[in-house]
Amino acid sequence: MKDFLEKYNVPEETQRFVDKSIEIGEEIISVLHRKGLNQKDLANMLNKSEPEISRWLSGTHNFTLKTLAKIEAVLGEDLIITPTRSVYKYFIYRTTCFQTETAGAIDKPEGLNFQPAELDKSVGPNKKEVA
Amino acid sequence: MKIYLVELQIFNKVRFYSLRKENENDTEAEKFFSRFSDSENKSEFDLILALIKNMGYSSGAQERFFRPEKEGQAIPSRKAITFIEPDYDESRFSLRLYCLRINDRIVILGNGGIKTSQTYQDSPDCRPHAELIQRFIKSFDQAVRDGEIILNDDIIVNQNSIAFDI
Repeated sequence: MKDFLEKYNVPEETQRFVDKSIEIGEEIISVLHRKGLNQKDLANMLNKSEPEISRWLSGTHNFTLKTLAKIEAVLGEDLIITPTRSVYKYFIYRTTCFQTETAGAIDKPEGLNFQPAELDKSVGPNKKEVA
Repeated sequence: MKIYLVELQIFNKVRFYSLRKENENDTEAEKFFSRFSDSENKSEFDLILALIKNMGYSSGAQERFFRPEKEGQAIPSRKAITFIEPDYDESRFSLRLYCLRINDRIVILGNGGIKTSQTYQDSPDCRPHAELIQRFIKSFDQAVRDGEIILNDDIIVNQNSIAFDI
């Protein structure tokens, strides 16, 4: 009885769907919290009803890219981020650290020797963002 | 009728219990799983199971995953989709699993069925299961009030020693 639920397997695509839907919901809640907003605020910002926002957070909502883009636009933050984009953002962040470090504000961590110009060539499609 | 509370599975985030009727071997949740795991509603069942597993392993039994049904709850929370077909109409999701969410770490699963109307009262396949949970909740609440069982954050203490009259 102790492992009763383990006897039943969920198709991987279904489990991934629920996991991702819940993760996106968590992300929306987290961003709202960080910005001092609530679900009603988000509903107003998107011209949607509160029940619709609740439905998005139910753990089984099938978010479309269009909906995600709208939410990201009003919140001004990424909700989903691809692994490639994540690496790109990390190096942008490191570049910022490097520039700050050379200004003497922060000690540069040992073993971290890279040049912003090299990153510019190797990572990310939009050089304007790196600059 | 006497009902016993049985521990179903302990995950790191949620402890799931179910109800077992006197003189029956299977719990209500086991009956639900046996009936729907290989049925024409399998894709809906899979979604409910995926939600239960996510709660258990990572998210906890957050209120937003449950649909209020009088004193108790049901899963899934809102209209849901499945992988039956690309243009699945969310309003067609008809499988319901009735339960009692105590907190983020304790859930008591009952049985469920196919909802064929706006309310469970008008759905013959759901009504007995929803009503069983409602009757159980009354008895359970009384046992908590009387101190016969104790609710800790993640466990129901003394659950083995009580027969709930419903």
